[in-house]
Amino acid sequence: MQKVRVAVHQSDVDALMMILQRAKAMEFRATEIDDTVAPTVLFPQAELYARVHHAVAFLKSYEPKRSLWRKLREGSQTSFTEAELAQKMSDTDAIESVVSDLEALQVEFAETNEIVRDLSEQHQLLTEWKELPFRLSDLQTISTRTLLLKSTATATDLSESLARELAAAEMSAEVTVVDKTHVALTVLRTTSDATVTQLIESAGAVVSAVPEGNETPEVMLTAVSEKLAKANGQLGLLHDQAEHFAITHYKNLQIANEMLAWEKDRFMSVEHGASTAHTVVFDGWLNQLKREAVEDQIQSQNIAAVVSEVALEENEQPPVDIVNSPLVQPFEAVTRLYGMPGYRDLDPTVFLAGFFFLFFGLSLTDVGYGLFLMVASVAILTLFKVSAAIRMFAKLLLFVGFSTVLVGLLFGGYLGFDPALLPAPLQALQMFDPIGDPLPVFYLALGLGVVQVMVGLMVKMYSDYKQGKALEGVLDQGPWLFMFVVGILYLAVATGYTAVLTTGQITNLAYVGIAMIILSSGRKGDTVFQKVQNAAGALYSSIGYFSDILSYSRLLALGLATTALAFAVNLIAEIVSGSVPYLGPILGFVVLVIGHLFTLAVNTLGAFIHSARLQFVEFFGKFIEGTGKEFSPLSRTEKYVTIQDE
Amino acid sequence: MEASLIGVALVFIGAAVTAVLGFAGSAVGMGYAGQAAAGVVGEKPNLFGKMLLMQALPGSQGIYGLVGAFLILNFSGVLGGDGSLAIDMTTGLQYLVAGLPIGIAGLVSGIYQGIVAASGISLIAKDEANMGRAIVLSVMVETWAIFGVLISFILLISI
Repeated sequence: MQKVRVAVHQSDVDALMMILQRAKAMEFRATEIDDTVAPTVLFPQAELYARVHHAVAFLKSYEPKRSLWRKLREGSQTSFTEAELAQKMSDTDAIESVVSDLEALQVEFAETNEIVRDLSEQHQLLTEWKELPFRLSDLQTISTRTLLLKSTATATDLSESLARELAAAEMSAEVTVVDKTHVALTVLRTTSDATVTQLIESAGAVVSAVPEGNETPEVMLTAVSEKLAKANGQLGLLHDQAEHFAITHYKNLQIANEMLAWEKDRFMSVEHGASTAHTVVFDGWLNQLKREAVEDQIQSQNIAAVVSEVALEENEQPPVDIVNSPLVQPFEAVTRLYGMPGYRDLDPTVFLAGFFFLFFGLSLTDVGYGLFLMVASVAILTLFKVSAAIRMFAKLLLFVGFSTVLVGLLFGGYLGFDPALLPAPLQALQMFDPIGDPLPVFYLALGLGVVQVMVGLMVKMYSDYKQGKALEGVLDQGPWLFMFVVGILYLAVATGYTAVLTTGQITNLAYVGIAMIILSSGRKGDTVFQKVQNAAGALYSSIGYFSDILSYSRLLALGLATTALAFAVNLIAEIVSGSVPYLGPILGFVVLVIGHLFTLAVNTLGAFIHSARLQFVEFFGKFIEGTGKEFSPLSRTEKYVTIQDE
Repeated sequence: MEASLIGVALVFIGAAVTAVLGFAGSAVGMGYAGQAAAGVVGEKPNLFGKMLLMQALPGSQGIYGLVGAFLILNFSGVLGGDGSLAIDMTTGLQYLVAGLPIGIAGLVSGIYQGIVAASGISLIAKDEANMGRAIVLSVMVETWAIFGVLISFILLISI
């Protein structure tokens, strides 16, 4: 990344921003220059954006329902060329008109909903007092008033209790039992409120709200029910209209929403700049690979802008981006899971790709599961319209599925079935028997560990060379690589694989290696004490290498776990199949399918996580020194829209 | 009971203890890390991948337990043998003891690695760039489980 300063004439700011956004070339940072002011940022479509955003959120629940298959086949994005997008955005009046129509519909919706809510409340209250024998207009007369009471016990109990309280207070009132729990109490207007309240409380009753209207509740209930049905019908019509609206306009509104969001992002980025009378200056990070293309665009569109590189300040760390060939690109998902390497570090993706490919296969070790992963990923890539991120993940799945098939063939892993049942050519391919004889696999796993740790050391040497520290790289990593070679030689001689040297000679070479480690690490440090300390520290780090290599034994265990689980599924299916009459084979088949899908899911997750862990802990630790911040340029986030190359 | 049968029984106990102690360590450790991870994912769902990896770190001890159990069964001849197994009591006891370094180191380090992973998770929640540091801190604890594997392996090949 280049630290740059871009100066642009006020009138060309939006055109420049458009170029940078399309190219995904620049990450903006706060620009601090003396005697400048913050640029005036006024997003002209702010109101429209808010309205469109709201409209999309409203229509989401009315989106036409699609089956899962159709969703996968059709996807959620529409692809456009740049020209088509420009054409769509030019007609904001049409968008505004659609949004206005939808807003009118929403208002109608809100009003009808309010009516339905009111009527529902009335309906509920009237249903409760349906048996009341009075007209509602008669509840309040010149000389009396009637209170509607609800009882926590039965209405008869309440009625008796009220009668007792009335007799005790020597009050004149009439109690009418309405139904099992409701009572009407008619009192004289001359009776004070306090007396009535005390009477009701003493009787253990609660005063109910009074339904609206003049007629008896029963008559009123019929009228309200009719109104409610009508309002609900109206609501249904509005619902249909909203659904129709969604069919006609939802997609276009989504697209408009996305394009307005891009525009908003451009205006937000302008806020980072510093403005003078005629120009706006932006500081930021420019992807140097895209600089030429950006400058060509600036020139071809006659934009008054200049890009100039700025020197890094001390300890300043530019953001990091990783770019790989199409073959390695799917493995970037693994690197991104860890986070970005430091900006001085090498992109580890290309180095980890081969190891991850192999380790995943070794962790899953089954032809059947590998084929399933391959078929699933090919289906995603060919049949379904999915986002770029999912496509990339499907490619990774295709690679690791292929690796699983290859390793499965070598290890005789066929969904937990005995390889002896298979045709002779397939049996001939088997080179390892992880369950019957796990030791060779154990040694293979550790051997791969040695290879990866050595590659890690070599990558570190290369990284040092790239940073102009070639000698340092050789002195730091060279002795350890030498020791690894001596160790491999020793094993080869001890196991009788070769006899180029005697074990005594190899031991002497090991002493040379140790001396090299002590000398190379002892060269650092100003005082003798520091040199001794560094040398001792370096020797101690041999324990670290040891534990790194032993950690690769997980490859054996994960492979074994897959085989054991698959075998167990087959066994359970066989037992179920034989133990239930008639339905046994069907149940057994169901157990087989569900069991293997479960085993596949659990072990694929385990294989992914542990293969990744071996990269992060045992491999990255050898050559990655820092942690970087991911480059986050001004770009067009593609949620509903994909942009085709013209 | 015949001495050879007791020997075989001791090998079985050795394999079972080795595996189960490792599994238990990982289960508790992943439980701690998982609790912390769930809290973070609730607030920041985009960190799910990183959280899953952090939760998986204390799972290594269970895997080492599995490796240890398999090695015991294989070295003793229980796996891959012809069924006519005769292991004397002393040898059986040796296999049992050989599994203990993996088992016990796995149990204890699994639990503590889980605690460190949980703290690492809060480190990542504050800043995603801390992922590498959080992993390294957590994996330091695992070193002792790996040494357990090493000692168990040396003991097994010494029988």
